[in-house]
Amino acid sequence: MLRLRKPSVLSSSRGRTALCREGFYYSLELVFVFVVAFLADMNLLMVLAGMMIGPLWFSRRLVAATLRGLVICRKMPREICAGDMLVVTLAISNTRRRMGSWALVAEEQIRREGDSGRQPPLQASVLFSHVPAGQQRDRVYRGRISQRGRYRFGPLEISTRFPFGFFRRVVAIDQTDWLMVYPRLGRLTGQWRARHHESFDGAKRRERRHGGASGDFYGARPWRSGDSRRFIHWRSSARHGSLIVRQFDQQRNRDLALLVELWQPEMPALEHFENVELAVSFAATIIADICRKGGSDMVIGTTAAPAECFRGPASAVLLRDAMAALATAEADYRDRLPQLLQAVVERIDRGTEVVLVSTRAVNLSDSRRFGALVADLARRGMLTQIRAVNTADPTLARYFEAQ
Amino acid sequence: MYVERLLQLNIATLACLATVLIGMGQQSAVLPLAMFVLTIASVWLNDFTRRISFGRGVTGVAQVAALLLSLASFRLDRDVLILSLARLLVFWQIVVLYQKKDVRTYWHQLQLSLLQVVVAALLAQDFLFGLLLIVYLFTALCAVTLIFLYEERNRYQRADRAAPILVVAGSRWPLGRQQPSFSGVLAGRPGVQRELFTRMLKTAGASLMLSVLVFLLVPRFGHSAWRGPGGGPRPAIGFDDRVRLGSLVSGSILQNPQKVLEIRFFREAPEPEDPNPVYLVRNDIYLRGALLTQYNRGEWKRPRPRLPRMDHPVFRQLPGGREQVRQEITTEPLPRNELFCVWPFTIPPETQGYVNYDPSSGRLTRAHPSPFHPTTYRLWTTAFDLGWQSRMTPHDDQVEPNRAELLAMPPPDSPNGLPGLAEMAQEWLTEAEIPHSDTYRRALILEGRLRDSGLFEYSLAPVQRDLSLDPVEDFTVNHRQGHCEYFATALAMMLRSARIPARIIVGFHTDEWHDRGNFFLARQLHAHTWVEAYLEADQVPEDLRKELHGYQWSSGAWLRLDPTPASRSPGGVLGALTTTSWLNWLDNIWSRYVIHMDRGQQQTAVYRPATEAVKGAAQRVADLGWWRGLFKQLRQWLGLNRWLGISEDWVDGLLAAALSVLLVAVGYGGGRLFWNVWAARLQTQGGPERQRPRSMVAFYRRLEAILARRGLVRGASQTQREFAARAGQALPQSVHSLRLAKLPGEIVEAFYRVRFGGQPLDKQGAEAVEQALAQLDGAISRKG
Repeated sequence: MLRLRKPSVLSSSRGRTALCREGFYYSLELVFVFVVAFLADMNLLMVLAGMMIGPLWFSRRLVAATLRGLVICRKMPREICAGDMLVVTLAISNTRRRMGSWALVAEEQIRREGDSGRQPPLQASVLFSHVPAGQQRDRVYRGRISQRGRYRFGPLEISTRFPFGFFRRVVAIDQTDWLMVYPRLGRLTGQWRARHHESFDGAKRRERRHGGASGDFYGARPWRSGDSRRFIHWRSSARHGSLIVRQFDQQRNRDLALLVELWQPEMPALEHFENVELAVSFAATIIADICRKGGSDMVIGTTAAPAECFRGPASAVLLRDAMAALATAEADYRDRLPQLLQAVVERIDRGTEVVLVSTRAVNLSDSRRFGALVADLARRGMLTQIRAVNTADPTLARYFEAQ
Repeated sequence: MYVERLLQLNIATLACLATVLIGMGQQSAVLPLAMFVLTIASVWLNDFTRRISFGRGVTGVAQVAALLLSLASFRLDRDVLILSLARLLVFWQIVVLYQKKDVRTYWHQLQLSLLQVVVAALLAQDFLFGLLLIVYLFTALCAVTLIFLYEERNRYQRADRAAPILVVAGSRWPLGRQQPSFSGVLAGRPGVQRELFTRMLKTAGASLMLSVLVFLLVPRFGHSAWRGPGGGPRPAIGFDDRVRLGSLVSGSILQNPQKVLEIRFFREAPEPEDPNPVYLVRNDIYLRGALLTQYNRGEWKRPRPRLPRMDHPVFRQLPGGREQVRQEITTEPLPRNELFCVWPFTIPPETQGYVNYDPSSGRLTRAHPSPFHPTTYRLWTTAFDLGWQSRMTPHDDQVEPNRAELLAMPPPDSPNGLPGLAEMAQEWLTEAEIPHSDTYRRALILEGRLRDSGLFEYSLAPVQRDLSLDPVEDFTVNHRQGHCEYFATALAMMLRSARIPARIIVGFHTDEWHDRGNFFLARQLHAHTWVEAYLEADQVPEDLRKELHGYQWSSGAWLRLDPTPASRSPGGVLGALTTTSWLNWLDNIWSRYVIHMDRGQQQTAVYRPATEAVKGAAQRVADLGWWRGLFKQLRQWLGLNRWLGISEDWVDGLLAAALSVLLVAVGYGGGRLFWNVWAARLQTQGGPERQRPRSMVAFYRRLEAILARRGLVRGASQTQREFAARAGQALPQSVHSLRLAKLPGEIVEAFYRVRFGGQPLDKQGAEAVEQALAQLDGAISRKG
């Protein structure tokens, strides 16, 4: 999905002008010629010095004039997966009636949200060779962002050194766009699917979904994002003062709770970083797979701060929210898995398959770590049904291929 | 490729131009021709086909070799040093022409060509240098622009690559070592077209005007400007009390349009029916400066002094019965002391003490030389008869004419003899069959033949003379081209060969009449040489005696003879522009106002006229009469009297009121413009402190705009906090995540701190607000 921002009009007064290296050397030559001409009464050198002043003077005026009256807008997608080709289009309209603009450089900073200020932002720049008066020119820049997260595009800087390269004028435009870089999706292997179906086939439980009239009416629940308006029960909604939707029973579907533990040591190494990314990518691939198929409810929880827990029918909306949460999920050295399990176990229905994707080996019977859950007999049984996948374990390759 | 080709051709042209400028200074075509050929070869062999393309090492060695060669002919002489430097730069430029080209090489070539021009400016140059410098300026501006565009496009052409995903062996996460990178895609035409060159042309024109201003206004402190090797003063037409024939070997004579004097003529007593005192002169006038009598091998000298110098008027009393005309002469500041006037003249009492007359040399001079101030003097003359300046002047001097000196000629058999000239004169006189006693007609015959026969041609160009002959003999016999000095000398010598005493007069001959001001203007280009033949008392024709009544002819008379052909056009500046070579005129302007611009010239030509113009304008503005005159002209021009049907006073009042309103409106508009421009500038230049109030509350406006998309608009009675609370309650129903509900409150708290607490946001606070706004924006957009 592309996003077209409201265009920004360049006002030259907001810019700053600096002398470039070429201009500095030229100025030195000019001063030399002028001083010699002045001291020695060399009239022809004085003529030459006068001629050399003009380009320097008018260059400073022209760099400002070149940037005046330009309208700029950025066209870019809202979301993208890490490693995919990102193409951003910048459009500059020259609203002047007479004067064209040459050699405009649009440069922008791309900074990942949450990165420390010490890390240099990514730079992207594109050259507009010529924007004739009254016309518009589009130019694209492209590249790949390898790290998931939320990226801020901007501020945009338009600069030019036209006509002689002696001065550079930069006008900064406070035009900011955000890009969500989702985790990179991999491929689930046949072994994962087989295991998933085996687990499913062994359980003849009632799965609920709301997709179609073939199922029996099961009950009503508050409206959640992603629910179709067709299933809103208007009478109940009017009685409760909030939207209520109907739920239907359907066989051969089951819910899934996907828990992602993003743990890494306080001083992580490269392999820990890889484990975290593999975990996120694996989880994202599972969610994408289930949401594409639909037909079940999902509970998704991560240990990343701030802890977020999503619940809803497997749909494009849930996929987008979950991907956004995974995109910004940060690994931590603190152990947040017990709290996550506590929160999720309370919210899931019986029969829900629980998959825990972790960056380390997890012993769910550890009473010191999961004391409260282990002490509760009803929940202890649920713990035993959790399928844990350790992304640090090389056997992950049996279920998932990172691409 | 198109830009690069254009750049290569442009740089090659620049190299050629710079070398041509050096060649002009050296007055040699060898280097420019060599450079031209080598440049064409380099463009083909190096730039286009890359057959010969040296690396940096080879070119460096070649440049060092050129330097060593130049050092071999090194001498501690200023002129030699400059010429050696010029040659060295040309050699270096040739070497770089064959170097493999990149942006650095192009800059190098540009710098070298600029250095060449700097060195060329140290050499003696004529105005063609100025014209070529303008061409060079335009070409150089284009070259700099093309280099710049070429560099920019090159930079983005190299970067136009999308980085593929690198798969690193042994890595479980394929993006682990992937460095994020972005590259702009270079597309579209470079825009090197007519508009760009038009812009360069305009820039060059504006630079040229700026350079003129800088050149004229930068003060000079020296009394003589730099003249490079061979840079002596150029010969120019102008008054000189010495005449040297054959001195012009090379270079044409400049027609110097410098103003010398203004001369006005007034009647002695205006008649009642014609109160205008201006005396209208109907023909061109001759203003005498100095007379020369002694001739020796092309050189004329003043007469030998025969009486002690005495200051007295030429005429003790003007003859009665003739028109008395007052001549009022204003001379410009000149380094010479001679004064010029129409002869015969007498010095009125009010002028005595300001001018001196030396009857021995026949010179009228300033009594108090003042080379920096104009001089005005009044004299009387009787030379005019019904507006015509008479050709005959009675000899009324206190000194008897020195006939021996006036008839002196080199012996015919000597190397300086003038046998050809004398023979030609004799031949003409024989053909005319005029008796020896009729001196007057014999003189006119010789004058007419020289001037009108077509055998002789007026020219300011240098003529190669036969150095074994006297210049005037060569002029008469071999090379019949020359300027007025040749014609005057030839006639004087012919008259003397015919035993008619003659002398030559140096002065001004002008017909440049200015109606506005009623004066004749004499410029340096009007400087002229003519001949006066002496007629004994009995040789003055009877009809002339009657015509020129009132004069005493007892001491003889001087007959003015001007043998210079009429093709010479002394028509002033306009005449010089239209009928003579305008290039000559330009050359003169160049010489006077550029090459020889020193402190004195700057004072005379720039500072003083500018000061006087400002003073004059100020005086006019303060002069009520000037305003009345202006209103009168406006009245007449617009026909307001007839149109409005009111009196002149009322019309003047209306015009004054309209002008006042106009001035107030212009002043107000200008003030507003000034205020707007400078207020905006001060606001942007004041830094963050000045900009804070507007920018800091902008984030709150963005919050309102975002919430408005969900239909949440602050009521008129709501405070910002109340609005944020309501929005927080409303948002969870609309969006997915509960934490979004807190965001409006956080943003509004930041707004309160800034707006009402006067606490600016720090970097982290601003970042937090920005993130909160973005989250809200994103969430609401998704739902939208």
